[in-house]
Amino acid sequence: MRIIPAVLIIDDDLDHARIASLVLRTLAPDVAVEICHEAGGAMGALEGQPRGALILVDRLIAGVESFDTVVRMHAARPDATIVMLSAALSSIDRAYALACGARDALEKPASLAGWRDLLSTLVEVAGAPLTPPVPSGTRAA
Amino acid sequence: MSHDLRSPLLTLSLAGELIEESLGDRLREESSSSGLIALDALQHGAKDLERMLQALTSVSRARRRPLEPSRAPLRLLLGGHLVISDDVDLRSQVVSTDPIAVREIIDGLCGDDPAEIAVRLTDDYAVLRLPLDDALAEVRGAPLAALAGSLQMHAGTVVEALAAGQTVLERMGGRIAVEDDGVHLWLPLTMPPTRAHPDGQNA
Repeated sequence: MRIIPAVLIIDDDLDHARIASLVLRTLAPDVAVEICHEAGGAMGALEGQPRGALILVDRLIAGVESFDTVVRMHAARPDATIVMLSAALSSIDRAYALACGARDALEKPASLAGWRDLLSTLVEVAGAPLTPPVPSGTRAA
Repeated sequence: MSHDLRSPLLTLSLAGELIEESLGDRLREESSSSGLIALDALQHGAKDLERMLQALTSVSRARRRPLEPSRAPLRLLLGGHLVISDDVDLRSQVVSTDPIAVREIIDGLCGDDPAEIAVRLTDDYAVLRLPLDDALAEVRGAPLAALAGSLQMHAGTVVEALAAGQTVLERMGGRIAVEDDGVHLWLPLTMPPTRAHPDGQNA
């Protein structure tokens, strides 16, 4: 499995961001984690991320939906894995987030165990190769 | 609204767990148990709030959920259950509803096992009577009113599922009520039913 180089957390709720960061530090201590708590700073923070970074973006930042931000981030950095998180997320929100370019959209877990499961899955997903590996003994065309 | 309420609630729940993980052992060793009691209270309160907020969220989602009303044959809606009815042409009846939403209500109440569902036809509706669940012993009338009357008591129970079901059914011209003999669902018929003649012939 490829190790993701970095995680950017974009969330105006600093408590949630810090808790996610804390859990990430225990799951993947070598991965750099940056927190951005303003939508206005999201694109700038994204620029500084290494290729293949995992971007966790809150659905509502200061009362404003983040879907446009996801569209812009996906256009600017298609190499990044963008995942939308929210305290409350409907199936419509999720479908819209995917249409905007997010890899997934999920509700924030209510337990630490849930955060550990979620973030370990996301780190694994973001770290997976972008194309399936060529089976040994065969040659790519 | 549910986002605004759930966000700080998540913070409380997670903070309680973090305190438990980092300080729980120390609190348990202390001669005074006040710290542990406070931690338990924080966690129990947060879980209770989460349960009640989840109930509000499920009703709120039922209000916004996209529905696809279609002409649904009653026999399809009731498939897998034992149907009891005096109306001879019941199987040819078609209701105007979102079949998935109605099946969710039926499955939520009856579970996976076949249940007895009584059906009668009025001029405008097919009225389904489903068996009462134990959790409905104290509930009569509209489940949404019961849920609003006591979130504490009904959140997380079948009343919550029925309240969401009521919201969906009412958006499609139907209704739902809990009565002494069962849970009644009114599903709009697409056309008035043909009645059986006393001599056994259909009209």
